[in-house]
Amino acid sequence: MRSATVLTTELDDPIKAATQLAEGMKGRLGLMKGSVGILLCDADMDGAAVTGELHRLLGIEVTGMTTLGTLDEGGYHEAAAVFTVLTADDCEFRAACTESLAEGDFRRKIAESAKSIMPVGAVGAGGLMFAFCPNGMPFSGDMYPNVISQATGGVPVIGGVASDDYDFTRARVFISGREYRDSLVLAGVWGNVKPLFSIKHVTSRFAERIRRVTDAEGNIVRKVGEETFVRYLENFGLKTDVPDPVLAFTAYPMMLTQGDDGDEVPLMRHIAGLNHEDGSGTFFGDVPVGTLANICLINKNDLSAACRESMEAILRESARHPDHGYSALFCMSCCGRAMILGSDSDAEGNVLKEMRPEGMTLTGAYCLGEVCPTRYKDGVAENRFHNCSITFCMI
Amino acid sequence: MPPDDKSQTDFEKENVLLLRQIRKLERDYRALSIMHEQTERLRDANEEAKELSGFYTRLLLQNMPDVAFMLNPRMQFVLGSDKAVAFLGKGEMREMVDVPFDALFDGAMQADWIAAMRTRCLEVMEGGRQMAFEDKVLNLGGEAVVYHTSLSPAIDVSDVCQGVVVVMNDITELSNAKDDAERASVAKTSFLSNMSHEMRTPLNAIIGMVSIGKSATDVDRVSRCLQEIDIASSHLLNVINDVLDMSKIEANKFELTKTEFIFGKVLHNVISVIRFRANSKRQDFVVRIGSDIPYSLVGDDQQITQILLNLLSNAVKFTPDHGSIYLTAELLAESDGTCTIRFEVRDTGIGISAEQQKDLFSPFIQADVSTSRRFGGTGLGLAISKRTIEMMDGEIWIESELGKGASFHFTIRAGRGAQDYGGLSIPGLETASIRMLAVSGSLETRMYYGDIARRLGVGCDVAAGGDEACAMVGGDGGHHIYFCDLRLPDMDGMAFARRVRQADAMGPIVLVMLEQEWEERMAEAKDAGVTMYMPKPFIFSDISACIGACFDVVLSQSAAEPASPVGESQFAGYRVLLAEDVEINREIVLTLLEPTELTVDAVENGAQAVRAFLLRPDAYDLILMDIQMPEMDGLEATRRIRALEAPKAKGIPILAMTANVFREDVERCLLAGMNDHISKPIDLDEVLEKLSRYLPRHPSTDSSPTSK
Repeated sequence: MRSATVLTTELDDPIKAATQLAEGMKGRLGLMKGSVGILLCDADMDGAAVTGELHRLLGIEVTGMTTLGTLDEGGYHEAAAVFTVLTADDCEFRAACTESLAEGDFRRKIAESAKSIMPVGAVGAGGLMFAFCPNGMPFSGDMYPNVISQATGGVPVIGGVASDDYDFTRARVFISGREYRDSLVLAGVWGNVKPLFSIKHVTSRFAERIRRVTDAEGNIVRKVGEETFVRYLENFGLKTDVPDPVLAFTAYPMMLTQGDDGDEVPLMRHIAGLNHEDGSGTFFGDVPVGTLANICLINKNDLSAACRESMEAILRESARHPDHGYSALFCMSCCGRAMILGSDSDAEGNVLKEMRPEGMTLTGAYCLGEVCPTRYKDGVAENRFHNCSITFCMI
Repeated sequence: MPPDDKSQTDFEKENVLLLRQIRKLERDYRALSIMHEQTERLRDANEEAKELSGFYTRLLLQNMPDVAFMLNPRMQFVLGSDKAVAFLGKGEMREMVDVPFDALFDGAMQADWIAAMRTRCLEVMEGGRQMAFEDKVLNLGGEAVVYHTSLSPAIDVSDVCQGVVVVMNDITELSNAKDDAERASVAKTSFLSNMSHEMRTPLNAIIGMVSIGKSATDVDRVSRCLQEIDIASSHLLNVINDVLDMSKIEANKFELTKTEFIFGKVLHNVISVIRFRANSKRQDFVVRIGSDIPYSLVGDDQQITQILLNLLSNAVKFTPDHGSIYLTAELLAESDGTCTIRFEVRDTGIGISAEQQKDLFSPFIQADVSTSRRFGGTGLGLAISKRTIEMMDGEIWIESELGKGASFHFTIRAGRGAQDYGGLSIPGLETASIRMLAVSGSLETRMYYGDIARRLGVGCDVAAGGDEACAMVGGDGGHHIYFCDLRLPDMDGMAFARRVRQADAMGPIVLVMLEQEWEERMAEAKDAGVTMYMPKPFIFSDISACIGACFDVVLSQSAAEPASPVGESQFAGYRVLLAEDVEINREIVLTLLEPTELTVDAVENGAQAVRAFLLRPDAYDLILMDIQMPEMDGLEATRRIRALEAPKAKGIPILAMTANVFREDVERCLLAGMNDHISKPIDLDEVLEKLSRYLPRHPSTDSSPTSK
């Protein structure tokens, strides 16, 4: 498989942006038998128009989403769009979009779309799926990896939730000329693909007030220990009466230790909202009863270190398979991380630039939730929804 | 107006970009503001939490019972528990910070411990692995202390070792307890092994002798087999009794009885038993009883007897032939009618080392495991004695050295009894006018005679040898009775007797000698004019009995022997009902009672016993009743008989004859209406004694069953 990434800052002129991107791509990559395009762009860009024009110019399906920041070999960019094409003679590429997930049977819709891009006879372990998820849906972020895994028999999924400038109202997903706020866009690769994954969050420092979740349902937590979730936060000294809880708590995600089978990977969860009437909190992902919750304290150094560790891990793994010819690295990182980095916004990008192997395409985005397998169990990827994590997929 | 080189479109575009940048800056500002506020709040909360955490840490360090401390990678003190600070004695904790390990422990522990611990700490820090060990340490005072020490690497979040945490837990007590428990376990195992041996040995003798006896045609041989079986059975019974006593003690079910008893009688019984054993080993058995010990006491005479027998039997057992055994008793104190009496049992035997003495009074332990092999015994005797002595508010201890004999001392507290020494009453003589002459080479014995004479209210002259004594013999008016050792420093007791008689002194002469010697030299003694003999050792009551016997009836045997033993044929004419379900037991009773000429009707259970009695209520004079029987047990049968209308039903003596021998068993029997209790295995003497108690001697012909 071959790949290339090009960048444009022409956010306000979709035709010009698409033309730039298509021309740039043609100069770097000859399309092979099968291809798919991925556009990750600022929320100011008319993604529908750009992906439509790219589809017309290149003759391939183009998928993507809006992000807080986009990544290419030059690091992270604000107010820009990066366009990546994957092409191969020995792979089949497919893309699809669900109906609106805001209402109706969203599980069925996700499952049907996921299945629709699986070639006949394909098995989960023989492919890779990119998931561009809508924000603000009335269900937990875990629904995406869970339903896709179930529908496909465990195809590994890399992706994220569309984001914007912390406005959370302008996030969209795209597919070849169409854009949606409430649909899931999927791109699948089948054939000679052996993806590697790596995920790292920040685990070095905690508020050290571990409490067991005692009353929760899905992504809503009502009680931890004997106190309401809101009271629990207030006992930390945190302000809960805030207009925008996502922003207010982005720097303080919760780490969940499930302790189910002894080798679990702790998950990170961001608060999506607080209900002062019943003292509950809503998270972007599920928080099961019985898990141990602990609030993380994150700083810039931790983020850089986590980025480096995750990158090292996937490079180590790829070095074990030199014959797989890995050429592209996708990185989905969390908006919360970008927010904490603040003025030092290049911190993660600099690590990636420094560590990127020569000739390897690098692309990625800051999103509002990451989807990435945490491990393989019995040969099947365990896809999980994450927050405040940096995830990698190498193909 | 815009500059010429820029078009309107360019300006608009720049404007859009500028607005976008402003919007993103606003976004960042918004995000950073709220983040900053939350961070500030969290920091304040964390400061409070840190203070609280510090407080908790201080509390922990103050209250931690272990010597716990942390060293940094340079082996310098970082912090420690209050116990550690006190242990090290280098001032307050803050003064100890950064003090090197060696200097820290200098003065608190031995140099070799410090060096070894340093090495281990460095190993733990280098290897990053925990280490735990137990070691016995001699502190500077020379005292042995056992520590369980754990060393843990202090690994921080970055996986860097920041030092080592040392926790020293003083487990000396635990370790000692563990050692004790292990010793006890070994002892119990050894005890079981001994027990097995102890029980199998007599069983083997019994089974073996039964086999030999069955095939023997020679009467002497059968008789010898029976004798051996008798000895082995008694031994087996003793072993079982010991084990049962110990079990009851361990289960706290052992109780003392409180009855008034004649102290001299207890001593007499004990001495009679031990004298025989000591004589057979040609041991010198000396008894000295303080004259101020009351005549009668209130307490458990059976247990006192048992303790004395146990200690004296051990003394005899562990003392070689021709050695000496001493029994001493004295009144230590008396207050509010309670006497404290101290006993000493001393021997010149093999002795007991200090190490062996430690466990001597523990159950299941003998001074040496090989002891039981060599001398036999369950190893329970001393443990039982100790517990019973403690129940009598006393204590027991030992003074001994290996090879230099042993001296067991114990005290008991007992009430003063109502009975007192009665004076001697001799027909035709005033007690105060009686004068005795006591001849012995032993000063101690001479003094003892004096003591006893004073208590009896008779006069007493003493002489250290035959010549001195003969010089004091002056016809009938001199002395009324002579007590003389068989062996005197200057002559034989027989020669002294002859000299007394040659001097026309007619008073009775009592020769103090061993029973065996009397049997061997009785004819010679009588020829020499000896009236009777008195066995050694003797006590007050022996002298008193001797004097009484000499002036009442002329005896040619020991004053200690019963004047009139229970005669087996005295029960002729009586009819006894025996209820016993086990055939062999019925046979044993019937056979044992054959010589008594009792008529015995045997039935197999309680119900049959009730029926038999109901049919012929006047036929029976006594009922022997087993307890555990099928159909109806002995208790129920007794209750039924007692409830019958027949005139004899309420009064007929019913004696339990059972292997249920505990105190509560006896009480249950009495509650059911029985008169007494005979324990199995059956001791014929006990049966005869009980029969004679409940069946009057020489029943009249009218009341004899044959006339009915």
